[in-house]
Amino acid sequence: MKKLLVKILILAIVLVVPACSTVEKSSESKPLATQPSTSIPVTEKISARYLSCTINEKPDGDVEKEILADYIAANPNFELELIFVSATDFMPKITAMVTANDSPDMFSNYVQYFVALHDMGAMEPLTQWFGKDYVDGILPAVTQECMIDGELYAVPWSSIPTGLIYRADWFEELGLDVPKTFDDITEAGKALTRDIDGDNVIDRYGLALIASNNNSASSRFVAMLRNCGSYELLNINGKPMTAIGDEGSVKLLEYFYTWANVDKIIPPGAGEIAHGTAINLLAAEQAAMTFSGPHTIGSVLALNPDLKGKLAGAPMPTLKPGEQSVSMANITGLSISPKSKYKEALVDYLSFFTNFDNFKRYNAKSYRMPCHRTLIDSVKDNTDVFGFTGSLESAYPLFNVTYSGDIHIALAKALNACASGAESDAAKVAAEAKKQIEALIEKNK
Amino acid sequence: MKRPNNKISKYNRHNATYIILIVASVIMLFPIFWMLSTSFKNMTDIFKMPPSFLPKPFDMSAYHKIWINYPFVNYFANSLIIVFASTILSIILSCLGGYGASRFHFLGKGSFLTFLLIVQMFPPIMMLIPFYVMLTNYGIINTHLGVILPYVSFAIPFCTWMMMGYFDTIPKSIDEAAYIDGCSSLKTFLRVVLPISVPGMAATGIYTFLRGWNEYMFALTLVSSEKMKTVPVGIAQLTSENRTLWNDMMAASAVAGIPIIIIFLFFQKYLISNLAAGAIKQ
Amino acid sequence: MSSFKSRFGKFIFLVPSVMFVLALIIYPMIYGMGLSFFNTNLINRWDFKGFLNYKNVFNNDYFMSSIIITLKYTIIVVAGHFVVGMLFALLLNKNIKNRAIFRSILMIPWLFPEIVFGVLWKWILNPTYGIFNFMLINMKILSEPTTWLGSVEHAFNALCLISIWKGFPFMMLMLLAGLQSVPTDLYEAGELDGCNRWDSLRYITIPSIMPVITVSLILDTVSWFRQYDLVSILTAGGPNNSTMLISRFIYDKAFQSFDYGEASAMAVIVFIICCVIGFIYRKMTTVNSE
Repeated sequence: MKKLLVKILILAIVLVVPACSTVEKSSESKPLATQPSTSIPVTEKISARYLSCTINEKPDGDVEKEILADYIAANPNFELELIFVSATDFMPKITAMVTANDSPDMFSNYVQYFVALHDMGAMEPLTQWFGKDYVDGILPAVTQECMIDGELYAVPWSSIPTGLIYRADWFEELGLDVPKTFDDITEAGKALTRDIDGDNVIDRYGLALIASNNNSASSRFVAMLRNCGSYELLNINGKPMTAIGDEGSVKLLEYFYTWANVDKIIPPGAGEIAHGTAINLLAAEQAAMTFSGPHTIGSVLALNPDLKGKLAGAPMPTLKPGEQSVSMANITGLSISPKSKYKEALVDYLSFFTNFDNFKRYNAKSYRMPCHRTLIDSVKDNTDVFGFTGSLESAYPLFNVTYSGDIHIALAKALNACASGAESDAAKVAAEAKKQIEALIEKNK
Repeated sequence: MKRPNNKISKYNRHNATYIILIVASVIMLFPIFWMLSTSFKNMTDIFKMPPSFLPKPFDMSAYHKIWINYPFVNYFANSLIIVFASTILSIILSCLGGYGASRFHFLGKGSFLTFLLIVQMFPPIMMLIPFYVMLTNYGIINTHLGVILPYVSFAIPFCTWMMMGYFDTIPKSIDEAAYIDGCSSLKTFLRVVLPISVPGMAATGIYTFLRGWNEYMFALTLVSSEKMKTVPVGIAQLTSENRTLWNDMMAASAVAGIPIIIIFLFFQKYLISNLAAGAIKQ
Repeated sequence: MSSFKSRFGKFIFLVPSVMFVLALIIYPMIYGMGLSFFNTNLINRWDFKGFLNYKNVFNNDYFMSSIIITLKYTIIVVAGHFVVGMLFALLLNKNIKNRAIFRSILMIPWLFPEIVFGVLWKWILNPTYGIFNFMLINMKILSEPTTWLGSVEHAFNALCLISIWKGFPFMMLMLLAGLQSVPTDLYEAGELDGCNRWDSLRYITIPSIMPVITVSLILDTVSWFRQYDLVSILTAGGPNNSTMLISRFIYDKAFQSFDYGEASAMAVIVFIICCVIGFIYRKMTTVNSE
């Protein structure tokens, strides 16, 4: 028996030790080129991998694939393997790959992952590859989402500033003005919530509020919060602080509760409405307004082309009348791994991918906005969304930290509790969220 | 099987049984009916308020789309290969282990069994990353083997327990009869006990097959190329932040269920004939 | 000679499984457990923190409430599986016509991936477009659409029901296999002794299949305690954390909060809890087998 145990132990050691040995803890960064490269050496075969959250989206992903096909036609030795992962499963996937030293050469990047990925050293510094002129041309609202300490870590590709989307034709029909404050939303919402076919069942609701318990809702919530004079996290004199719990945040949460449960301008199941559902509601003409970005218009039109020209965008309403509306860019960026063997080639590809003509093509289908000054004119013809370009000139400041994800979880919980009707006391919900955020700040000192 | 005397009461009992089973079947089948109905609708019909039970118009395009727009052929092939291989390997290993645990007493048997039990209690989420690292180092990441081996290692503890439980219900007298006839323990196992354990093996096999077929988290993480993905991962990809293509997804789900249903029907017949034989032998 | 044979025999039977488990599960488990002592991002930052993560976890009210919710969930769901599974197993054990068809139909919920089942139910329970609300309103049970998965009152119950629906066929299959291995002469002997149906169930059936019942209960408990896929799709732990099962909680901690150390500490604690449950079960089985 003892001999058996010893045999098993030896076997175990022999099998287990090799598996432990090869995770690299850190690597020296190689000296990098000082000028952006403009062409790939023709003899080298490039076989890169791209981890993307966007290529399977329809119709956006199809345009991406078309642009890639064009590039490959011009550069036959360039091969890019497309690995699709949904945004929710992105973090486990890339963490596993980076930990196993198997990082994809290129990957899509969102603001909520940005700081964590930087912390892992997973992103190649790009200023030396794209040049200072390029970096200077990045739109002001975008820079805080792709740069850290003055260094570029993600090529900002497309942005979706959050504003108000509404059925311009119904507003005109009912003689309503474009809402400028959240009270206006309540009024307009009530007028727009009606029974069309006379069967005593409400067919149209005023507002498809995105209030699900996830990042989709919390990022929109933050955009609304900043327009109420409050903020979720900012660096004030070197100290991270939150304003949640103040009057602005409580009033906003109150709106979330009353819109769904008192005024009932939101379809039933407010706590379950995520972005996809809101798109369906708008496309099926069952809702009149939502808070989202221009890409939502694109998605709705893809589902229901008859609505072309009927949907419009407007700046996010504010809490108090007469205040300047602010927004955030919400970019999708593209990063390169420091361990990639094909950086030159990928930089070249990315330059092509985000050029004027290609972005124009992309915007025509996806309705996402550009991030670079040189690309603003490329979306001039898309009248549905051109109005959104103004919001990219200035954005409210973001303070991104490694625990931003946790903060969003706390906010999502709070807004979902109010919208779903679970909690009617907005002050209590806000105080709870404040407690959680302050605990996070404390923990991460 | 002998019938008891009271024929009338047996008939009544069967009636009640039938009614319950029919009602239960209708309830069970309703979600499937809804899945099929949704798969045959077009997008406008799906979002009709109030919803209709039957598709109007009847639209089969989703079933074409899933094969053309997505590599479902690959997804199916991968799932079938991976799950079959891991099931067979799991059955072999767990029959051996379960028999050993059932028939033999050894020092540390209790600990061994408890060890098997607790090993599967560790939340698998925290093992995602080390598994990825380990399989990359073994050089089998993003391959069939790289998914088969983890699946087998997850299945072994459970299946060993199940087979042990099953072997426990087979009287040791059968083993002893074989020993007396001169068989070694391995021969006894292979020639005598295993043939009458087919119901248990079938149950274990079905269970392992299902767990593998439906597994999502590890299949998602351990496989990157589109051509290597399995069916659950493929279906989950049809939901996205912007929209869920309900009809495509339901069509894909319906089709995903077919191999399982076929396999189960096949195993079922096998089960029935052997169960009857098993009952008589005892 | 027999002792040599039995020693050799044990070797053949047990080593293959043990080797497999050691090679494939031990390293990830040790790694997973080891993380709990660090504050780490898995790449270049490994700050040894001793038991700090554990301390934080115990002070975390959400963790404790998640554990309690998971325990409640597991007990309800396993009990549901057993009751429903036993009922159908007994019915299907009878020698009625077409029982194979009924058996196949009743297996169906189990056959589909949890992903599919979850999406399907989410769709059926959709407040606006779902067929469930529509049917209830038509049958005059409800007056207006209700939110099931999005409301605090209903989400947990809905999750439990869907889980019972999804998982009972496994229990049914196990119990059926057990029932069909009970020798019929036992029943006949019982009838001669004057047993009615309930007595024969209590005194003949259940004791005969006790090993199968025990194994099925243990394995079902372990399986559903770790439930992740279904709850992620249906509610992602909401609303207001009312369905936050522990696996989902740990996942969020690791991949949304990026706090691998604390997530790992939670995983270890869950592991210990499961071991305790396993220990209790084993005590019960050793009592039973005597």
